[in-house]
Amino acid sequence: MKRLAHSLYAQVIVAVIAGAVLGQLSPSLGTAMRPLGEGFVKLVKMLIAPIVFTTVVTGIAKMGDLRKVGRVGLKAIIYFEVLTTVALAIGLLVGRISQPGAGMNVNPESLDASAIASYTHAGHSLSTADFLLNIIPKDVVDAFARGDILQVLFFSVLCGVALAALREDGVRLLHLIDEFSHVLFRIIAIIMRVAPLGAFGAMAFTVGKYGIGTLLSLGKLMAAFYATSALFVLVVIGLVLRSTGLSIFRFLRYIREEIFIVLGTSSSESALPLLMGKMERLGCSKPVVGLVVPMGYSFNLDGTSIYLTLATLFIAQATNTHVSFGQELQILGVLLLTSKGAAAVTGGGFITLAATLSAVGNIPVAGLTLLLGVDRFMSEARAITNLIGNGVAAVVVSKWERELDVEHARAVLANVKTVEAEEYAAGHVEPEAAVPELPPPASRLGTPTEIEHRV
Amino acid sequence: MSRWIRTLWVQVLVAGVLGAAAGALRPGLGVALQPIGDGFIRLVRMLIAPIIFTTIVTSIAKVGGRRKLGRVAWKAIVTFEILTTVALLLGVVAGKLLAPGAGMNVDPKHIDTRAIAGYATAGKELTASEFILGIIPKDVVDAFAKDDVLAVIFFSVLFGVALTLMRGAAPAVVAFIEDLSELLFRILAIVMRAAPIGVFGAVAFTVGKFGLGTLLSLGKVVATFYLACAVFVVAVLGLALRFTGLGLFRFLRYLRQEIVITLGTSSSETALPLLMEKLGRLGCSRPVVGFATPLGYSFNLTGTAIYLTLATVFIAQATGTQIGVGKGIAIFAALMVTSKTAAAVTGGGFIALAATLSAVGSIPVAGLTLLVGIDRIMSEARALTNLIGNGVAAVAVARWEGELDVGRARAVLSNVAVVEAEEYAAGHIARDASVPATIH
Repeated sequence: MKRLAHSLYAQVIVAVIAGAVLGQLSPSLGTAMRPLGEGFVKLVKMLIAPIVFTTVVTGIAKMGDLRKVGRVGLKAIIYFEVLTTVALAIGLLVGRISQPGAGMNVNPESLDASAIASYTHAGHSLSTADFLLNIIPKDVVDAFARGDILQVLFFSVLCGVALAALREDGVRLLHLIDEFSHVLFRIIAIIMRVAPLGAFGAMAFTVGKYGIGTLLSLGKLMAAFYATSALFVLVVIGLVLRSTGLSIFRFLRYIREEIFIVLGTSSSESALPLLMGKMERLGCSKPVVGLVVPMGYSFNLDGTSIYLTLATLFIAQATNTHVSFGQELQILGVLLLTSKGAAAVTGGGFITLAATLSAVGNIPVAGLTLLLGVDRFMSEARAITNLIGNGVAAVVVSKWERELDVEHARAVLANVKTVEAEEYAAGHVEPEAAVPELPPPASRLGTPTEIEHRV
Repeated sequence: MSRWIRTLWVQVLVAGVLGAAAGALRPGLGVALQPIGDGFIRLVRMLIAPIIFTTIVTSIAKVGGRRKLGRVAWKAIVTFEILTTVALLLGVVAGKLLAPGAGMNVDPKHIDTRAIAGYATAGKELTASEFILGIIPKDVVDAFAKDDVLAVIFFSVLFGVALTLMRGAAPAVVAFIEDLSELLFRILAIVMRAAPIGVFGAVAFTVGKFGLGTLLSLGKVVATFYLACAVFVVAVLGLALRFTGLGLFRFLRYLRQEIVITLGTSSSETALPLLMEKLGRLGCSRPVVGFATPLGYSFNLTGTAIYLTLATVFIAQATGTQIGVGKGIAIFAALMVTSKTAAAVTGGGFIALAATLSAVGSIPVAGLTLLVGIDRIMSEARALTNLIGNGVAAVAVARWEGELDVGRARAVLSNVAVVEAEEYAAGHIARDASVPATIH
């Protein structure tokens, strides 16, 4: 009981279970809990852009070297490219072997495509040139206001490099941004106190709205996807992590809080700031974390990749569309490009899937309708796999840059509870916060030096 | 003479009279002057979100510990709740006693509701959970970009609490935000130099567009509302201020500059930053003022509260709708909630009223049409009462917290001219104001 009171991780698990139970017993009440989940995700999301900015700028400015920024960026992209390609291939392989859609004999003409009309439409408008141009913000403040992570990242890199070039002249500003970063993470720590509430509400909504029953309706596909994701995490990501000298099981245990928050809210963004903080703590270098994790949220969507190929084959099988080996390669080729844009569009993977199907040609886009009902459950596994993939990416790139202290990392992994307790305490609003009481009334705001003395 | 002309409030007063004359004599010209008034209001509004952020954050960081912060917040909420409830009650009493709508015999079916269609639908869309979710910004910067006051307040409080928890581990951030705050107030002092021009344009527009004639057409309800506001300020706020040991009339005199600006622009926002600065000067502790005033600006709209109940009673009387005691209490309870959310919606009190009437049901929403024409005139008294109510609330909270230097406050109140001269000089751009050469 005492453990429950002081461990976010245990609280979130209890909340997720309670949410699922409530949603199952009283679907209408569960659905009504939606604002709790949405509110929590919104609380975290409102801080993501400034957190990415402050982390990346301080990270790069301290790294100091434009060459190195380029090298880290390149290594990250290579790593992302390899991992997502493997993920796509695995999805394709599993789809061929397990045949989740075989025997469904769906006639695509009988499907009501109106439910997915908005997705297919949005998918058409995304060309590569548009995508690249969109990374440049219309206006710097606009990028922050819209919370566009890629745009913010782009500006942050520029800002960090420029700040590094200023050398001593930039020190004061760098110091200020660094402090801002600490304040923002402290706000996250406060917000995380309500994570159980958010996970409870979102879970109750998911189960209440879609019901455990939908899980069974496409049981074979769900099972295939969940099993593939698990396999990918344990085998592929596990092996990659092994090469850095760390164990995947310990690593998963280390980020269990993040995993359960993502599971509860089915949004991988709700754990982005926490993940960045934890990776730094593990011993990954700050600039690497600042670059790799936000970039990974756009380019390293392993879970989404598995889903994309698997779902494509599922639709083909369900509608009895024959797919030749050449076409499979074509699907892989198209998805290699389109999967990178998934995060940049709202509705994410679904729109990408629609775009891919229309690009390949003979697989009926209307088949997407089959997946609409289970998408929320699919997105749980997708989001968790994406999260784990990004955490490991930060470790691997740090190691590749020879900036990972493996001994330190091992020690941290063996001490999960201490880390969690410290983080939990950071968000604790204690009654006796020892800020000195000021003599009333302070008549003038005071000069900066005076304030420094006071605080 | 020259001393008089050098005070802002005299300039604003003269500008207001000139504007009214221009609007009355040449309505066409008066209406054409609208951009001048709007421009001034925009000049001030562009600064409101950052000023709220910097004052709340510095206030919380200095308020001295979490326990104290909670206590101040609690005291502020109690004060707001008492004041707005009394204001709502006063609106009902004034409406019942003076019966401004009696004998109008308006048939709601014959009213052309097109003029209020926009308000009615805007009001309906806001449910309680949406309202609360709406306070959380989509993105922090977005809240500032869209000038979403409640979202800015929410984030500022979180930011300030986080700073408190860090126990001074971020001195550069605190110093930076304090500098920023001073800078913003200095910009404001420059902007205020243009207040007379803005007030001239705004008053000329109001008089030119609506004419003094509209005042008479619904003269009784306007008179009732103005009277109710006056009673509230003198009796209720006067009494509250008495408890703190200060005199109301001296206090009003102290705020005369803010009062004429609010009156001229019929917007209480334009004077919010000035009000905070003045209350700090008065001797209220700045952390308390910086925290309570922006909050009050959302949750302590006493003028709006009087207006809401009075307008409801008026519409019921004019359309001959009978309201039972039970229903009356339900409406009152609903208005207690909506009066707190009015600031979050554009169009303010009017939308809040439409939303409440349509939610409660028995009073025809169409009756609002009767009030559209005189809303601008009503909003003068509304804004003014809100302003004074906020000033008094902040003084009361400071006093309750034992952080009002009453001796100093009395001295300041009897030296209004000196304070005003200093503030006016702050906006003066000296030609040889030399930025120290060390900053290249």
